[in-house]
Amino acid sequence: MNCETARGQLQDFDDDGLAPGARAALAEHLLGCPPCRRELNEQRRVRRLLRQMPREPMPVFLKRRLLAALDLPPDPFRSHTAPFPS
Amino acid sequence: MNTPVLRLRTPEERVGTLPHVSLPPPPPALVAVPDEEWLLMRALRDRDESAFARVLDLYHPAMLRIARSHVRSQATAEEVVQDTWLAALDGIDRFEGRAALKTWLFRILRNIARGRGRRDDRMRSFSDLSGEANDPIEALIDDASSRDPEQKVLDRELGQRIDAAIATLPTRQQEVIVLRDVEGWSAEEVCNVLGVSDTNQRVLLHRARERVRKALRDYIDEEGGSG
Repeated sequence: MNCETARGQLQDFDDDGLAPGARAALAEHLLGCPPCRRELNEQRRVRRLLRQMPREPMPVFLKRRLLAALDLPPDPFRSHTAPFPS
Repeated sequence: MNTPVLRLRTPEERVGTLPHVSLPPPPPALVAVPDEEWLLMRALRDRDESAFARVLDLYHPAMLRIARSHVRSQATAEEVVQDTWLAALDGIDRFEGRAALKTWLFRILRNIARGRGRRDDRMRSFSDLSGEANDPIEALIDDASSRDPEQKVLDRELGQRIDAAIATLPTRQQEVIVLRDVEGWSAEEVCNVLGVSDTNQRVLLHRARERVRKALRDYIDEEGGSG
């Protein structure tokens, strides 16, 4: 496997998108190719940073308003005009 | 005397032990609730207050980020989230179970957000003419006290940089990278919500990750050099 092929498969390597044979071949390539290992490592760093992004809580006023809506009868106007998925 | 059986490790196992090649931790969003669908159903169909409070907390970060990829301000994004929940409460009887309830909810969100985004675009021409600056990327980071103490959270400046990088992406790429990498959704879930093929989803994700990586180049180089 050459580096170009390997780089094209790195994302799938981590996303379980490779067949076992292709996965083993890529793993073998990575063992012998420091630049591709570095590339994989960088991609993983970016993903790790993204997973650590703060999760913004719902503002208290909004949560109160929505919880209060549970006690309201359904709004027929809204339910007929909301853009529901097909 | 028993001789221990030695087994050669597969290349994959060996890669796992290489320095600087560690697997990322599992996404926190998927660990928290074992049966989101059941909880959502209790919240929307049974109007169960406790379940509703939990799903509001559970989905708010993802819903807000997806809304933000379509509209220009935090306040409008919050309105989109609010309208989505109200529409879901009113329309739950029309949910036919052809997709996951979470998928249905996020499709409603996208429909509302897209409509609001188009309205934003029309309004923007007026504010541009008046010289009023549109707000830049607002930080989606605050209130450290409400976070899970176990979860490692990025420092504010880096979080803002990542937010800014994501905000420069085309809307579709923003949606994919937010749901896959920030929220930890599966590829299948993302394809269902966005209505894209798996191949398309992978391309969008790859492009989005590359652009975020470029935007963080100096940080990653520094971290790599020191680690």
